[in-house]
Amino acid sequence: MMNTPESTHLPLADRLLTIDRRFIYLFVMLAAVIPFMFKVELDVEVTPEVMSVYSFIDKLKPGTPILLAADYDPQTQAENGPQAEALLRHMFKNNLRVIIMTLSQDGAAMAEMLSTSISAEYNKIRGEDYVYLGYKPYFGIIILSIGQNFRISYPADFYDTPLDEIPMMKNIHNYSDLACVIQIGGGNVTHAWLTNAHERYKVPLAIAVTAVSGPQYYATLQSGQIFGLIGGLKGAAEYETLLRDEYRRLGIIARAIQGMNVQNFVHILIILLTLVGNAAFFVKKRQGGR
Amino acid sequence: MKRRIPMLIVSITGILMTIQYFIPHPWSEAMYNNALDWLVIIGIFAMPLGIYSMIRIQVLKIQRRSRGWGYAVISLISLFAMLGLGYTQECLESGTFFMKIFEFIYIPIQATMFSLLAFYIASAAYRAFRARNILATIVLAGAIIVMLGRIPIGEAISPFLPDLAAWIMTVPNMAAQRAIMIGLGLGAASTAMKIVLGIERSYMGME
Repeated sequence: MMNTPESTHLPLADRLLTIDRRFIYLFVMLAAVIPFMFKVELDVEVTPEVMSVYSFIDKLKPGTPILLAADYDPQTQAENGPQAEALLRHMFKNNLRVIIMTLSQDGAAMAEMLSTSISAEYNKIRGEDYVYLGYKPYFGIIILSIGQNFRISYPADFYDTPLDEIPMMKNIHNYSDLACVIQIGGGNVTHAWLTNAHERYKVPLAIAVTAVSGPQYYATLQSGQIFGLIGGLKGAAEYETLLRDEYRRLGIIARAIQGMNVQNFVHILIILLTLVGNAAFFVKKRQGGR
Repeated sequence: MKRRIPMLIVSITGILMTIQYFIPHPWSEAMYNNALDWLVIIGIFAMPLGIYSMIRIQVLKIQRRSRGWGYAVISLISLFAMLGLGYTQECLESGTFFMKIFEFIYIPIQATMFSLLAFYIASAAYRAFRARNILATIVLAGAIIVMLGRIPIGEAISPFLPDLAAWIMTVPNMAAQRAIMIGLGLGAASTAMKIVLGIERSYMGME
């Protein structure tokens, strides 16, 4: 509702309750933009669910094959992007052999950018140190078919090189040849990985999801269906905290840690708005209004 | 006949696939692999159907000059332009025109749509998140604790806050989520059973 000349004569509680929503949008915009002007390195406490993903990857021997399913799309890039980058940097740092794929129809190009940019940081060779399989539709079927053989759904990689001609894939056929699957995304695809990959083929699975999706996976974490959970930008910031020395060595900005500064401001703003809205509501209620 | 044959196919396939899951035999595995191939083949038919349906709806909008028909023109132009540009696999490699459109138009549009949530959530929190009764107050208090506990400033306010937020996520939240998941699972299993037994027929457009 717009502020009319009459509304300026209303009591404070009424004016607060009828505030133009564009002011709220303006506050949110300022809370999101201003923190980018200051470079602050905040300490982020690492939760056990993120630590377990880090520890699992850290304990793997060099050369161990691992599957990274980058099943996210541009909508969740702000949260899933830093998660994927941190995970892939950790894998390459430990010289693991990484199979990258995506089951998001908008994710093929993004996963390609991810694999080429991070592999360049570590001078990794495509086909020897990592493989990018690209996108295939019908995620449930693809996840099931990998349990039999990668070659059923992916006879060739993203660049049309037959899997049988890729040195890294020589002895890799299905989930039993992998140390684990790390899935980045959320929603139905994550459920499909849980039911079709972990439950059917018993492959160890960890997931990295958006903050909105995170709460629904704590039950699967406790039941041991996933061995780790990276939730939202906070989870990515925790992972970057664990890799802080590596980020410094590479001279790369830890995007999630930087983003936590923005989250600080926006969360505080939303809490303040909620408290102010409630205060105005109770004042109005005491005055006999609804 | 028109009804019985599809129902029979669904029932036999459903029963066979259920039995197959519990039989670790090469024949069973071969049947499973064949079924997967069939799924991919059948699934591919959905794609041209979807494209045809989209084109038909947009063309009808333009022909009838329906409200917002201009957007239908843009949709069709975008569809054919991206189809044309994306025809070759090389287009998905960095630096191509297709990738530039994807990187500089599509990604920002999608990211913008999702980020609008922050604005709406802030507005909704201000207008509707009220401590009207005990239950609403508990939800409100829980939300504030989790919001504070998930940011570094919350840790600075009190080291107890992140632990409390973690407890909310791993105990009350998990209990509720588990109840929802079990309910969903039982619902899905019973629906699947009803389909296999021919009781549920709405998937064929029947009551």
